[in-house]
Order: sequence, then C-alpha cells, then structure tokens
Amino acid sequence: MKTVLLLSTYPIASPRHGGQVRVANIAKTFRENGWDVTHLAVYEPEGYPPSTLGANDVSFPAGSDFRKYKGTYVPLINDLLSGEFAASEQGGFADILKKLPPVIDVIHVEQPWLWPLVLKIRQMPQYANACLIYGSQNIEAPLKQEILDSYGIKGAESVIADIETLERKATLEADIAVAVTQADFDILKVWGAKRPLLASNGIAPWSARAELLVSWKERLPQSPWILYVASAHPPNFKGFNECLGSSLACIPPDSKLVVVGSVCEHLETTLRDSRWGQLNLSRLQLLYMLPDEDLDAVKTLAHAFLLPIPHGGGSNIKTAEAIYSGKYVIGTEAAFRGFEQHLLLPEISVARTPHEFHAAIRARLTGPATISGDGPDRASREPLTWARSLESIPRTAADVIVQKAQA
Amino acid sequence: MTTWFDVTTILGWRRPAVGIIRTEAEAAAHALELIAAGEEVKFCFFSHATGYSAIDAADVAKTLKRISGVHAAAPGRTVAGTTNKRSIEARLKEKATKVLNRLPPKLSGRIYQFFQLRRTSIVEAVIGVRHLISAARAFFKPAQRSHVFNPASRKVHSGGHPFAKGDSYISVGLDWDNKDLVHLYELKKQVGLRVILFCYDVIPVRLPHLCVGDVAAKFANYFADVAWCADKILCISECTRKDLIALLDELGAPVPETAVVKLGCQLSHELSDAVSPDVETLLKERFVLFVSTIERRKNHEVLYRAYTRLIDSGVQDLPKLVFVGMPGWGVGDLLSDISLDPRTQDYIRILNNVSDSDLMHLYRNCMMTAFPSLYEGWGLPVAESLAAGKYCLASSAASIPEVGGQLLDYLEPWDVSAWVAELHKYAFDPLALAAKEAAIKRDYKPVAWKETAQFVFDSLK
Repeated sequence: MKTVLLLSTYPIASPRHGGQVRVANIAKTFRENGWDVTHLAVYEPEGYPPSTLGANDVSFPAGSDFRKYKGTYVPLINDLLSGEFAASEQGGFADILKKLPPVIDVIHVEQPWLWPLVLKIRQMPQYANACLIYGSQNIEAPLKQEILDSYGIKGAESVIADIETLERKATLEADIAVAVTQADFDILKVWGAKRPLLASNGIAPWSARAELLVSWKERLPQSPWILYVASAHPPNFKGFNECLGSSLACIPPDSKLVVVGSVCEHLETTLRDSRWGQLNLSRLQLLYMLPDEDLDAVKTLAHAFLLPIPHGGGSNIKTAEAIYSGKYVIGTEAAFRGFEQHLLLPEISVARTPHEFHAAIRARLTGPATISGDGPDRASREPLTWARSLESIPRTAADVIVQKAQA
Repeated sequence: MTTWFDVTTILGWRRPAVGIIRTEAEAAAHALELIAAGEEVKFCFFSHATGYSAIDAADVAKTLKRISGVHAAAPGRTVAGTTNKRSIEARLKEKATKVLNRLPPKLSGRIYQFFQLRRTSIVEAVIGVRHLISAARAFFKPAQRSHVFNPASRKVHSGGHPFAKGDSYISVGLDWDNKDLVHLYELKKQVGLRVILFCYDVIPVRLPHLCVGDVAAKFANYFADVAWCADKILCISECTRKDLIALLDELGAPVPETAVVKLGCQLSHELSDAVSPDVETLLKERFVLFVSTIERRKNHEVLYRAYTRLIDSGVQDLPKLVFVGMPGWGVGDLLSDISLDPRTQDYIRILNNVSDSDLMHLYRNCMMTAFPSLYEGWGLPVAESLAAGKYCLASSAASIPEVGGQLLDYLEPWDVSAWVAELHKYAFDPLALAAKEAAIKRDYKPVAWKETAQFVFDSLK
C-alpha cells in the first residue's frame, strides 16, 4: 500500500470551510483508491477548538515568535508564517517529526504555506524520493492583497512578494501542481509546473431526512426563496454590496434571502449599515451555522442559490453544490470559475452588475421552477462529485512514483 | 368583477382634509357616484388586527360628511395663538414642535425621531381615549352618539378578506402608516387582484436630510413593497414618476406600469363673508402669500433673506410677506430670526390654522404668491394660486414647473439675488404683474377634483 502525507494549515476532522472540505475529500479520495493517508495540520489554536483536531495536528501557538513577520506583527498572514514555524527546529518541526510515518511515497501539501516544511522533510534521507504534490487552491498573492486591502492594511508589499515567490517555488519544485480552475491551471503552467493538473472542487451528494424537511419547511418562507451559504471568509461578505448594489429590494415582500454559515453576522452588519438597512433586514433570514443534516434539508428546500462572490481565485465548493442541486443559480463570473462548462445550463444565470443580479433574482423568485418532477439530470452532473473531480490526483501520483522508480 | 376602493385613511381621519386625505375623499366621493350609476364598485378598509374588510357605502358617505363638516365648522378661526379648538393630535404636535424648536437641532432631532417612531401608537392611544369618552357620552346621552366610524364594530369577511378572483383594488391613502403591504402582496398573489397604488413623492428617500430622523430606510422599504404590489402606480407629477422609477431601478425592485395623475386644485369651499379679524386687517394691505407648512424643505429662508436684502438696500413700501402654515421641525432658528429681526418685524406675518374660507380671501386679495420650495412631488399651492388667478414667484425645483408651465418664470430656489430681483420687479411694476395675471386668467385650466378621481378609476381600464 502506498503512503501519502497530506499537509494543510487547518484540521479536517470536522470540515466546515471550503479549504477543510477539499482537503478532507482529497484524503478520502486517496483512501478510496487504496492509499494509506496520514494527515497533519499546522493549525492556529485560536481558530479551531480541540474537538475539531486530528491525532497528528500540531499547534502554531498564538504567543510564538514565529507569529511575527520580520520582527513585526502583520494581521491576517499567520498562514504564511506557519511555514517557517513548521520547518524550524525552534518551531514545530520536532513535534511534526514524531508524527511522520516511516515511509512516505507522496507528500501532498494544500496551499503553498507549508512548502518550507515539505522541503525540510524531503531533505531527510528516508523521504528523499517522495513525490511532491502542490495543491494550489488559489493564486494566493493577489487574493491576500485583496484581503489586506479590504481591511485597510497598508505596507504589506513585501508580504505579497514573499507569497508570490513561495507559490512560484512550490509550483516549480513540485512533481505535480494541482489547480482548481482552468485559469489557475494556465498560470501554474506559465510558472513552469512539471505536471500541471486540473482537479476542480466537487461536492458530496446529499439527501435530507423527511422529518427535517417538514420542520424546516415550516420555518422558511412559503414563497420561493433564495439561499446563500458561506463562511466568514472576507470575500464572502465584503463584496456582497458590490454585487447586489446594497439593496435586497429584488426579493419579493413575502420571500427572503436565507443565509447559512458563519458569514451571517458579517453579512447582517454589511446589509444593516447600508443606506437601505431596514429594507434589507426585512428581506433577510439568517440561520447561522447549521449541522450538516439541517443544511442538507435547507439546500433541498431552496428555490435558488445565490453566489455573490465578486473576487477571489479558486473554485467555490458552494458553486459545485448549487449546480449539482439542479435549482436556479445566480452568481458572478468569478463564482463560476472552474465550472465554465456548466454555464449553458438553463437554470444558471451569470450576473455582472447589481442590475443584472436584481433582474435575475426577481425573475427566478417569481417564475416557475425549472426542475421537472423527475429532478435534475444527475448523470450529467456526476463529474461535480468529489470522487470524480479528484480521482486524477492519486492516479497521476501513482504514475509519477512509477516513473521515479524507473529513472 | 368588483373594483375595491380603500378608505382606511379617511375612516381614521379627524382633522380637515388636506393633501392625501383630500385625494382619498374626492376619489371616494366619485366612487359613490359610480355605485349610484350601477357600477360594481365597493369600499374596503384595512386593520392590522383583522386584515381587509368591506364597508358599506353609507358608512363612507357619513365619513365624507364628517370630514366635510370639519371644514364647514372652521370659518372665522384664523390666526396662530388664538383659541381655536383643534384636534388633540394637532395641538399636541404644535406644542411639542414649539418646545423642540428651542432645543439644539441635534437633540431635538433625536427626540422628534423617538416620538415619530411611536407616532402611530401615540395617535392610537389618543383615539382610544377619545373613543372611551365618546362611548361614555353615548352611554349617558344616546341621542348624541356621533357618526365617527368604528372599525372594530365591523365584521371581517369570513375568508379574511372580501376580494374575489379578478377584482381590482385601489388605494391612494397613507399606506406607509396604515397598511401591511406584505399582506397585500400575498393577497394579490392568492386572489389575483389587480392593484393600483399612489406615489405622492419620494422625498424621504431622495432628500432625507430635509426630513426628520432616518426616514430613508423606512420609505425605501415602503416604495419597494409598493413596486412589488402594484400593477400600476399613479404618480402626481412627471418629476415624481421619474424619481420613483430611478429609485426603484437603484433598489432593484420591479418597475410596474406608471401614469401621471394631476391633483385637483379647487379650494374646497365657497367664500364666506365672515372673515377673521387678523385676515381682515391683512386684506386692506398689499401682501405676498406663501401657503405651506413652515419647514426647511419649503425654503422660507430665501424669502426672509430676500426681504432683508431689499430692506438693507433702502427699498421702502414693500408688500407684506404672509406665511400661512404650521411651523414644523428644523426651523426654530429661522422663526427666531424672523421674530427678533427688527427689519422684518413689520413685514413678515405668520398665520396658522387658517380656515378654507379665509385662505380663499387671502388668495383672492394677495398681490401674488411665492413658492420657493427645494423639492416637491407636485406643488399644490402653485396650482391654487393659478386657480385664484394670481401670479406665483415659483421655484424651478423638481415638479413645480410642471404646475405652471409657461405661465410662470421659475427661480433657482437658493439664488437669493434672483428672488430679490423678481420680488422687486412685481412689487413695484403693476403692469408687469397685470400682464402675467391676464395670461393666467386666459390660459390656465385648473384641474377639478372630479377629473382626478375619474382618472384614478379610469386607470383600471
């Protein structure tokens, strides 16, 4: 049995946000293809309670000197700083070393942050032949720039430059560089990736329990309503007003924008503080964080999905879920990045301006359902599942191992 | 298929009919004529407790008589400070406004907003007390029972509403206070109602800084709901129609069909010989008349400044400047200046609670009128001035030029120099003024309220 060491900056025992979900599914896909998987996260303890941790996860403590960037604190870059911490003898490397399996055929790191750790591990003789996979979830430098800008954090040019250097280095040195969108794939190719691979985000098919459907139906609007599921990741709420023009008047008086996830409190603030606050709150129903089985029921009952993500790289797992549902989907071009092949489906609307968002939402919430009694065409949507979208990663890794053995 | 006319606003109204009340009352009166002519028209009202209910035409007729009676009882009551017996709400509002105008604007604005948000409950409480008193009187003296309509005495239709599939519904009243538009939208979908609603202006959203408190958010919600409910929105001017469409477009609400309806401009009552003493004194002098609530948006300030500039430049024998209207919010400093400024003390007069008859006397005997408002949904005082054959120094803002067309020269509302020049010109050039009046008498076609009401009902066709 081949062995893969899977590295990330977040635990995956109880995946919530998109990055966790992707890594958890990468682990699952390797296992389903006969691999032995060791996952190790170098995580920020303030963001993940003990109940969400795995056996191999290593803390990047809040008081660590490695939390400083060149001697000063810069907000929102702990992911970048975790790499140096993990690879340093004075940091977490000693702990990490104890948790490594005796044999490693593949080291797969999601996002570039822990690339210094990957190199450190491969310097050890027993792991010198490991195949390296760099999973690029996003092109991180511009995304980080956007996030820092959105919080008004200035003077971080060298941070952004370091991130780009790290990304390019990982792309060049990895045996396989995995992109989640065609656009990212093209960039990795230009950067000199040896084996660029496109493995989009996918979904885990869901079905809701009948009793939950009944109870949620009573709590949700009786008229057609639109669903937004998102985490508190800043692009999920910072760009909302840019997409919707700060107004939810496009939603009929007897309907709601139903919001699920940790984005709720941020979005409420964003919408309440806009000029049309009272109007917006009258059209908003916040459900906050929900257990998966409740979320499955809510997704099943939704009439439409909203994807108001104006910027950011990567492909949105929520987009895959929305398309898979067969219900109406209204989103930005950026939200459909990585799913361009589905844009011709009749239930999908791409909106580029608030005016287009408003018109699409009005039309969808007052028009008939597109779904026939038989439901959406499942067969054509199967490639959206994680099992299909990620299957090329273990297959390509196996090929590389064979090639290395023959070389 | 029945046409339902909503009379919720006039049923609860206890003061003289002005503006929106007048529109609803006139349309209701027209509906009674349609019913008499055999048309399938019925009345309904809305209560937050019981939803929509039908109401008999006879009850509506009594309500119209009551509102008309409030006007009829008024002659002879005139000047601010006199002992007029007005509604409790109006008196409370006036006293509160006077007190608030003495406070710093920031503080008074907050207090005003606090009570404004609770206005409905305060008014309901006052009405409740009055009903209690009325019930007590009726108990002890049954013959004196008034005909004030009591919605609670009516039964709600068994289905929760009286509407049937394919019916039409018209409302021209104070819907932002008295209605639940979410409920109306649900009914519209459920029953298939055809809905006609009104838009008087979008001032609270467009010019919230000239209103009390944060009204923009509340009214944006209201206009969005109107857009979702209405198959057609009747706007009282082309300017209001354009502003409404622009607002709905910005909000992302649907934009239903719109049409412009012109409001009537007849003063409601014939001239009475009985003139109040203060008005009688004024009628012997030359004066410029400005009929409007005294509030920042109406821009009384530009006239005050123009008068002070004329006086400072040595102009004598200026006509008096008469403000007719109740002082509102945000004009405390201006009113204080006017009352204390020795230059204008002899020139500027403020009248409040003027009867229709006295108002007619003022219109007919003024030299001309003035209307420097910063924004209007229509500009009824300009229409009334023209209907009385009087020239109006009118603002060029918003809908006002639609009222007078080519008959008036319009002035930029903040341009004090322009107001100085025009006041001076018409105050001392009787020939120029006479020429304008002759054109008005020849060309102005006042709109009758009956035409307005007819347009409202014809808009269903």
